[in-house]
Amino acid sequence: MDLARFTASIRVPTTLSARIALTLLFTALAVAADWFAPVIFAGHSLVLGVVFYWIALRTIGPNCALFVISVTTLILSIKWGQPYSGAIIAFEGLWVGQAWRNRRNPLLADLLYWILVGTPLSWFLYHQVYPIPRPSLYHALMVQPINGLIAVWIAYMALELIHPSHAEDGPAPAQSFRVFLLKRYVAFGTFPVLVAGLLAARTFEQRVLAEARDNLQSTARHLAAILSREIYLGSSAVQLIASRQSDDRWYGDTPRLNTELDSTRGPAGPFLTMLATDAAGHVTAASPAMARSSPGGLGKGILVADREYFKFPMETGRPYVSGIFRGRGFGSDLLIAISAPVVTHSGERIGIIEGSLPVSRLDQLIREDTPEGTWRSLLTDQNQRVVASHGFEHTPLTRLTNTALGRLLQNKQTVPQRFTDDLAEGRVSFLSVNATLPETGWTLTVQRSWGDALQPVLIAYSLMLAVTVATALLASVFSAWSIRDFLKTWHELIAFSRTLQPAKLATSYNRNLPLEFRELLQNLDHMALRLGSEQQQREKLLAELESRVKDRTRELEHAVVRAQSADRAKSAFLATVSHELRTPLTSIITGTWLLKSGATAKTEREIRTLSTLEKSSQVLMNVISDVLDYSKLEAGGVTIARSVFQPDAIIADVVSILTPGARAAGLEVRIKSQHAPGTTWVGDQIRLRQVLLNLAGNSVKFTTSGYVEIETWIDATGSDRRLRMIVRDTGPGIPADHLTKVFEPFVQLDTNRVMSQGGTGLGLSISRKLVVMMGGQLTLRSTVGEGSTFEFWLPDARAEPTAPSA
Amino acid sequence: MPGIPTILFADDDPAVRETTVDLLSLTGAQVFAVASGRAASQFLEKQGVDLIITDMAMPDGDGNWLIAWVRFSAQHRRTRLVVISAHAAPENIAAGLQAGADDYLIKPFEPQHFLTTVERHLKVAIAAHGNATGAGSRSPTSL
Repeated sequence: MDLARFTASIRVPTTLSARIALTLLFTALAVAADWFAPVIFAGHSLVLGVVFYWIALRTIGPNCALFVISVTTLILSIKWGQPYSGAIIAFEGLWVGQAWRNRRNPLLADLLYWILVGTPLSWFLYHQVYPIPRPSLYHALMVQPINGLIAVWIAYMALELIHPSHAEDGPAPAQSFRVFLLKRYVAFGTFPVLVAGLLAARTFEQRVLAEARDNLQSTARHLAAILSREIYLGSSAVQLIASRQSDDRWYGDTPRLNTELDSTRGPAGPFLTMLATDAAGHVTAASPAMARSSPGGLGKGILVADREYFKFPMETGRPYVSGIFRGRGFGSDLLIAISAPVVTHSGERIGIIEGSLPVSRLDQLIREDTPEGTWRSLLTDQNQRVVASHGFEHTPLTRLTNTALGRLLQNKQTVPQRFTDDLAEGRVSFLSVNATLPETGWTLTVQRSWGDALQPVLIAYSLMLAVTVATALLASVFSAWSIRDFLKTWHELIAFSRTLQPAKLATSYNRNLPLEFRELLQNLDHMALRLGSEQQQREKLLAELESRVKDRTRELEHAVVRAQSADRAKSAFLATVSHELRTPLTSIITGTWLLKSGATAKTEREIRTLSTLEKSSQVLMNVISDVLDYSKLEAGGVTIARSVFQPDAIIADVVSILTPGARAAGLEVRIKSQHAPGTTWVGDQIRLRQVLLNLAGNSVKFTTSGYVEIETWIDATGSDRRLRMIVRDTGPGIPADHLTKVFEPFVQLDTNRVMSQGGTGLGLSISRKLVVMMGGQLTLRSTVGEGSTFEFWLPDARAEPTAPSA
Repeated sequence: MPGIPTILFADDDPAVRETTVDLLSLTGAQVFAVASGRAASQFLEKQGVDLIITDMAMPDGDGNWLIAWVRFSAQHRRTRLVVISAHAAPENIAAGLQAGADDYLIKPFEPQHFLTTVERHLKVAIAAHGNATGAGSRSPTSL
């Protein structure tokens, strides 16, 4: 699952009003969903909550989604009294959302959240805001994180389904095929089961709930009937006595009335005491005898006119059943008074007959007739005081007005509904129903624990969850099992692609593999075999080639050695030739000069001959040195030295050599040095001098009028420094088609002038070779009739170790 | 005249030796010529000179040997020494100068230039040390 891409894919509405509207819509939806959702245990709303949060997150962004779920959670918690389910989803959602954004591990984030935030927050919410007993440590630390983990797992699976990592845009993160398949199997396999299980459990839940309601209602009716009958019997007895007293002559006879009351009450009768009054409310007769005689008892003449059981029958003429009260006199029992008026034939009310029914009688009935288990029942009188109960903590006479139970009673609800009571052990839900006792207007409430009533549903949901988990496990196992063969083959293929070692795949043929796989393997095996044979051929060829290369290399090495020794011989030969040619020439030149400059008188012819001799020997010397230089360059016998020198000194030297001849020819030799005086350079000064002398000498030789100029500067504009020199003349110039030709050896444009000027035509060729050898370049620009410009540059040799200056 | 400057010239080639001695005579100095480095050293053991001019390639004590001998001898190590050689390669020139020669001229040289160079060296030598040799020293070569 690519969290970053998921986060990036969230498209939150940009306008504030749209976001507010969407947030309110989501809140309404969530509240509605929660209100009607059958929350049996946290797992149910967990699923809804996570899915819902995911949709909210996608639509309105994390913060608005958090708001929605927080509001929903509060309502959910208050309505259902489930302290944890809602909060889990809310803050789970927040935390997982943040974890997604930060690309942390959501599972780890979840655990951290519950340790650091969830537990204190729950405590605050349910202890301070909505006060109930504090959740147990076990619940806070164990149940909530597990619920959270389940939530995150479901969200994970849902995302894996809805947002698979193999999107078209961008490479997916690498995961092994096993993991890839596992996720798919578990996600695809588990979700239908989960949804089907939820639907089935929901249907089952409706049926169980309907049955539980019917059961409760019939039980309540039955119990109400039993209690009603008891009161009805008492009332009937009182009315019967009263009707027998319609003759007022008899009514005044106290002893007779006492006897009658005693007989009616009897030893096993329902009433604890009975009495009769006159019209003014004075007791005229009472039962039992003990009550008549005991002090503070029901003695003759005691006034009861203020009592409701006297007033109601006397005023209305109808029988009366009182609420619960504590009796006076002996026993101080909790009693219910049942009375009826005594009416004469003429319709005159001359008193009442009253019987006190002990509440313990009703209590006993309720106890006997309330079903066993988590059932409980409660009988309250018209004043909402508890008359009798079973399973409730309230004692008789307790007034329930302004309690949750009292409000429930006021509703007179006769259809079973859910009722949540605050008990010592926490908030407990009951399925509750009311039944009214017709004679008295009393209310009988019968309740059964919600959890107990829906026990089968709980089992159904647990089963559903178990089946889901089992499916996931089975899917995992099945996926692992089903890809086992494929994985093995694939791993072999991977190994094969790594080594390209043939014939190892043959073992795979025996497997019970699909047709396509088998064909692939066979083809690969063939390919490997072919590759192998080709490899062998290649190796053979390579070995052959190698031996050939070795032979050639050996031959070449021999050739190199031969060439090197030949070169050395050539160099030695050249040096010898040079020496042997130069030595006699020395005598010739010196001798000629001596003769010519001698004081003895000479004829004109002698002078001319001497001059010719001098010139010819000069030419010969030039030819010799040029030829030798060129030969040496060609043979590679020239090495480039390095030393520090002043270019200006070299130029001055060259100019001093050329000036006498130039002046004789009427030429000016100029120096144009553009760098600071005393600037030094590192390079081969002798070769530089030779090049400069060649070029400038050449210019002097061919220029008839004007000047020869040597210009120099150090060019540091590029990445490396260069010594640049230009030799410019105002000579005849060189035609464009000869610009390259002049650098070829033994070429002179004007062959007639060779003899007159002396030279071999090797000077330019040698110069260019030398410049190139020193790492530079020599170029020539020329215009016929205007002059020629030789330009060359030399690289800075400072970087290399400098040889000591010679 | 405080004394005639003296030059010792060593070269194995007789023709060169002959013409060069003639040329050197034009400086006005007394020139002694020998045919080898060994001969030059033997001459110097008897008599000092103002300038030594030597060829490089000679049998029996070549130029390098002579330069080394002069530069290591107690009396003559300050004597100016010019090489004239047909070995024209830059490395030869560098080697000669490095060995201790004061100048290195390549054969064949331009006679006027040669004379100018020799006169310059003589002037420097005399200015530094005065006249090194007495007149009337025996010349090993008869001219």
